[in-house]
Amino acid sequence: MAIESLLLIAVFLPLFIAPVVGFFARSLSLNVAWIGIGTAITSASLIGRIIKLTKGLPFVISYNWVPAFDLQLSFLVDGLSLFFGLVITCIGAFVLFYARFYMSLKDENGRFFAYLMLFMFAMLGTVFSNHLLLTFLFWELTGVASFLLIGFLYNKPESQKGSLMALIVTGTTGLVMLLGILLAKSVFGTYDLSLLIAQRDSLVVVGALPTAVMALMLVGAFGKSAQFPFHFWLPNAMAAPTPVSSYLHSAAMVKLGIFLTARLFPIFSHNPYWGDIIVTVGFITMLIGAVYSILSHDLKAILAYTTVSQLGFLMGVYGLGHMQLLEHDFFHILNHVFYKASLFMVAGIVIHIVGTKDIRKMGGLFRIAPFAGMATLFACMAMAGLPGTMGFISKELMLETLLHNAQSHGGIAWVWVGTIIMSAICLFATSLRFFKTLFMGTVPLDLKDSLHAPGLWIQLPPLVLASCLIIFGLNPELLGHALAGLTVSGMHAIKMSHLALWHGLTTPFLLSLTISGLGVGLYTLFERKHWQMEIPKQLRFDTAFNNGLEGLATLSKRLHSWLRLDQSQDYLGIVISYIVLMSSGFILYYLPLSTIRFDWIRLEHIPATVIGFVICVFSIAVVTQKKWTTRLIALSVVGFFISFYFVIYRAPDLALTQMLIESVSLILMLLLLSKIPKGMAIKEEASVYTGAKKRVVLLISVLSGFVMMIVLWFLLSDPPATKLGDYFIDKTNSLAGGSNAVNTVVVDFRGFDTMGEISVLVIATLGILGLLMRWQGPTEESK
Amino acid sequence: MTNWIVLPTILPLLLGSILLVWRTPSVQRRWASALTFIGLIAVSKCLLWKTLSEKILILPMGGWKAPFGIFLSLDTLGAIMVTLALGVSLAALVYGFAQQSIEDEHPMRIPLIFFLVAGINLSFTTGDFFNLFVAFEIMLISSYSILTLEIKEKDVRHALPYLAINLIGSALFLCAGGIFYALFGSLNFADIAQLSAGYANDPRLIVASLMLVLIFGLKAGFFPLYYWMPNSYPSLPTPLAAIFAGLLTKVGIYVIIRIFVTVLPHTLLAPHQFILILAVPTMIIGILSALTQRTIRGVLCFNLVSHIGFMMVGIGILTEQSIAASIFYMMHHVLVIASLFLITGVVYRISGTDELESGGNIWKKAPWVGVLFLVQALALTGIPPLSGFWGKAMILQSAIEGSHWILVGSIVIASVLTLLSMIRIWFAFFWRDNPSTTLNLEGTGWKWMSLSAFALVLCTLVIGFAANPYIRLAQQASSSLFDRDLTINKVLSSPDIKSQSVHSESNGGHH
Repeated sequence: MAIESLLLIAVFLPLFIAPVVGFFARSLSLNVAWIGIGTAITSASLIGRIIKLTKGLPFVISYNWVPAFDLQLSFLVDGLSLFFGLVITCIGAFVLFYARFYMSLKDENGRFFAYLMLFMFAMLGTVFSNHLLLTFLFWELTGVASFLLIGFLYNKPESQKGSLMALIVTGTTGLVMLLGILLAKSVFGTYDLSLLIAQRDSLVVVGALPTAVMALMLVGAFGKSAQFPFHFWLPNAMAAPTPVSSYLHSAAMVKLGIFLTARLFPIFSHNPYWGDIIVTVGFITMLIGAVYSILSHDLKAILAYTTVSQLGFLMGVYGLGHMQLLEHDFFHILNHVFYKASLFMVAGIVIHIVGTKDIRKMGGLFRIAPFAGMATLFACMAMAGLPGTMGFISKELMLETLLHNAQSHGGIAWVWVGTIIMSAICLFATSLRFFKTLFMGTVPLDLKDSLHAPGLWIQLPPLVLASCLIIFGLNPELLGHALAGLTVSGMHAIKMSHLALWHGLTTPFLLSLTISGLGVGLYTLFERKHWQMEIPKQLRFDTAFNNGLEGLATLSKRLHSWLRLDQSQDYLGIVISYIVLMSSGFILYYLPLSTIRFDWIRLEHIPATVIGFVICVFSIAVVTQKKWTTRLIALSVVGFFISFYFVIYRAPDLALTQMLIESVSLILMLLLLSKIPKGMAIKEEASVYTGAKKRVVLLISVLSGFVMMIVLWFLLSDPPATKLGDYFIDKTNSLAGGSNAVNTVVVDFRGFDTMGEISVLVIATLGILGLLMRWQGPTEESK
Repeated sequence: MTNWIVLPTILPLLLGSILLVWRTPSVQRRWASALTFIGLIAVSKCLLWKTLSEKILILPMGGWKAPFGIFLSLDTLGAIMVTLALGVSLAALVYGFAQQSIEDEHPMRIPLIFFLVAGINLSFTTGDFFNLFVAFEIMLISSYSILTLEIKEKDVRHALPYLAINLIGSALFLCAGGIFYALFGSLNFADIAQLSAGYANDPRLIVASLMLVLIFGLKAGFFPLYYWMPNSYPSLPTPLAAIFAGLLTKVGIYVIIRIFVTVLPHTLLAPHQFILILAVPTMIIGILSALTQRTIRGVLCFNLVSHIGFMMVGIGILTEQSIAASIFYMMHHVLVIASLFLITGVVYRISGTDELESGGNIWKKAPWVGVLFLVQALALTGIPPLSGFWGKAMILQSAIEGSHWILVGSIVIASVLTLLSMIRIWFAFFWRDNPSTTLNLEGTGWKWMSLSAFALVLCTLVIGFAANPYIRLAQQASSSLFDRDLTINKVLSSPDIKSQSVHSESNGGHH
């Protein structure tokens, strides 16, 4: 098969399998996991086949998707994507296998495995994507899938809290990344990653905008990879079932930030801020994670914080950008994937056995779960960085680079050396504690009766993964050889230097010895204090996040009521005041009031002016008079005088209509009012505006009059040359065959308007009918 | 076929009137109304297709020549909006059938929906300012009637601000008409477009256009002019709320686009800047208010307000691309917000409440309702490749290219808070175990309701996953809005049917 179809099948297979898994879960129960495992293995072997076929050369596959938005379904096959593709599918297979034996029988297992497959698809899509928008698309899909997975035990409050935190943090940082992507398009002119990588030498990445692009995209990476200050979501995501943690939070999702940083490395590493930003953030994260891990006592939280720490380490690898470190970046990543996935699996097994998550209540489990114990031993050795494991080699390389860096640059570079030594000490102590507390010593008394041995199969995946750490730790060449084909242009040298187990009695090795010694010391110190220390409250970012959410709720409530959005009786006043105030502001600002002209005023305006004054006087009476009847009559006088305008402007029919309406409505209103009981009417009169409110209302009224006057004044002083009205008056006889222009406009020239207005009258009648004949039909249920 | 552009207005008016006479609700009556909508959708599709090649279709009413008679004119944007309006109304109508038994149906509900749709469609098809006012009157008077038709006694007070403010709005609208007429001596859009080019620096036009932003902002829901809106919609039955929320504010947005893109000169910058300034509080305060709401419908209404701000950004930036972005966003939003209201109705039906405090259990018992809600909630937030993403990304792109960083920031904040407000609903109604809530899953009513909501969900999924033709459509609509000369020429040079015929008649008389 061609590479295109191989890749498409490898990526999309999990998507198509997801509903299948969900569907068959009912009949197959947990065995449905085997379908998933088969899928993962198929995808993995297809990716393996692609590695053979491409021989490490980059390869792009593109299909049009939304050309209107420059979006192609474009995939980039190169060392980086293939490596991550393999990790995702292989670890996916292990996790599915583990989950098959971990999950208990429940109705919703189908959903669980379907989410996992969906997540696997999203991951594969992200790493293989060649198009920045496509990357973002899959990136968000991993976020949604992980939201569902973290919240799989959905009715538990901590599941909701954890999934919300993960979604909001990764969603927000993802949006920031989208900004970076959109900005990249306007700065570099393309979304195409392979193009950007190919043009990296001619691309200008220095300057404000490119730096902004880089920083925005890195925020996305930091959010997903739980880097400081976004690190807090990861420990809270531990509410997920353990297979999810061992997949998403060790091998897959949290590595996406690392992946993106690696992807961007060839493009942005020439930017002077690249290293500073990433190393600072990464190493702070590394230290915080390591320190918090030793202060935590929840089994999964400990692992989560060590993950945070290790992610910071990996970020640092790309930040430092030293050839020696970079060319073995996959080695560092694999080290973490192996030990963390297996440790999470072990944690799941142990929590099942003892029924608690508090590490302080555990002990002596080796006899009950020997394979898990061995897995833990290997994994903890790697985490501590003991010789003979991958962790050792990884740490040695980092130390060597940092020392080298510090010797040549001095200053801040020594801080980083200190940081990594301190983190390594904490991690050492944590590893020691993890293995010792769980598997050594004696079983606590209160647990003795409830213990039950885990099955053999469930212990297999962690053991296999952990063994890799030793196998490749002792024979780094084995892995080095396998990874040699997976190079990335702009990041890796064509030919790798050799990885060796033993570098001789170098400074890094001596440092390692010191670290081990101090690590044991730290462990003993904490052991003496019986692990009573907790993460300081002020430094708990998740609490801060939750407080922030609560604060936001309070703030929005205050704002909502401060803006009087909950006071429906004020709406009208607010809206009208706003319109009037803004309009007066515009008039004063824009209209040159000094240029007001009076030359357009003619003698023939006098009658209209007189009528206007009369209307004004009666309008004032409407609001100032106390009695209902007087006000009503004043109001209808206003109406009657308006009809005089129609007379002046030669529309006798309209004048007649207006008078008719005024008479009828006055009579109707008086009749209605006479029906209202006395008491109610008096109450109404008492509620007329008083005090400050009265002054505001007065101001608004005066201003609205002012606005209309000025607008009219300016409009009338410079009328347009031609008006439609002139045409209608001119042509009413010849074209419409009637001498009354108002009539011909209403029924002929603009008859369509009249049809509309007649409909309005019909509908108004319907509305009144609806109000009068209260419908008793719909019951509460049908709402 | 150009004559057909009157059909989306006339047929609903006609059918509404017929249904007033044929007043007893029955199965046949329901079929007749649904089929009318289906027929109208077919008509609007044809019209949309036609506008793609002809850019703009015009129909002089009564045959009077421009600018004297009333012109109906339909361009791609108008045709899109008509199609959407009809589609959403059909879904809401069918949903209403599933929700209510025939005995429960108010005999005036369907006629009033038809009148409302007639008004909405006339707004989208008219090319005349005063006729637009008439369209708004038809639309508003129908909406008042619908609002109070089935309202509960205790909710009547929510209808009052709606009524009062909209009446003031209508009066202001009329003032705006007066201002236009006093400035240009004309009411025809194309004529004004031609005349207004000479007024670009006239302070009177600047002030008038700023006042127009306020007047139409009242309809569209700009801050703080939207106060009347969010509290009045929740008192409606859900299918009607879906129509109101999906369409009525969009009519306001449509009119703003129409006036400020095709009628007034683009060199007039003040109103666009004003729109951009108002967009920020509209987005932010709207969505913050959504977080304070205690019912699903309340949350949705304030989301609606907040997202008006997104469209305002596109309009304020005023490039061909940004207008296309707003148009696409509008297409998406009409469908998504309407379908969310319909889904809310399903939730209401099965859990007997839409108060966040008392919901729960749905994810366990009726996961498919959850799937529908989740998909639409994510679409509303703008998760790719769902429909909301494209519009938002296009708007963001325009804002970035114009270096409007405050707007960009506000859009991001509003999006995150949209997500938060939707997740609140999700937790409260779907994930939470609430022992005091028992779901009523008996009967098939809620399934049929879900199905008609699903029809709209499907539309948004199509718009999202196969976005290309729809983005192109929005771009085409935008580019024909910017092709002002074409519209002006086509309208103003239309043949003078009436005076020719009169002329020939009078000639005949002489002979």
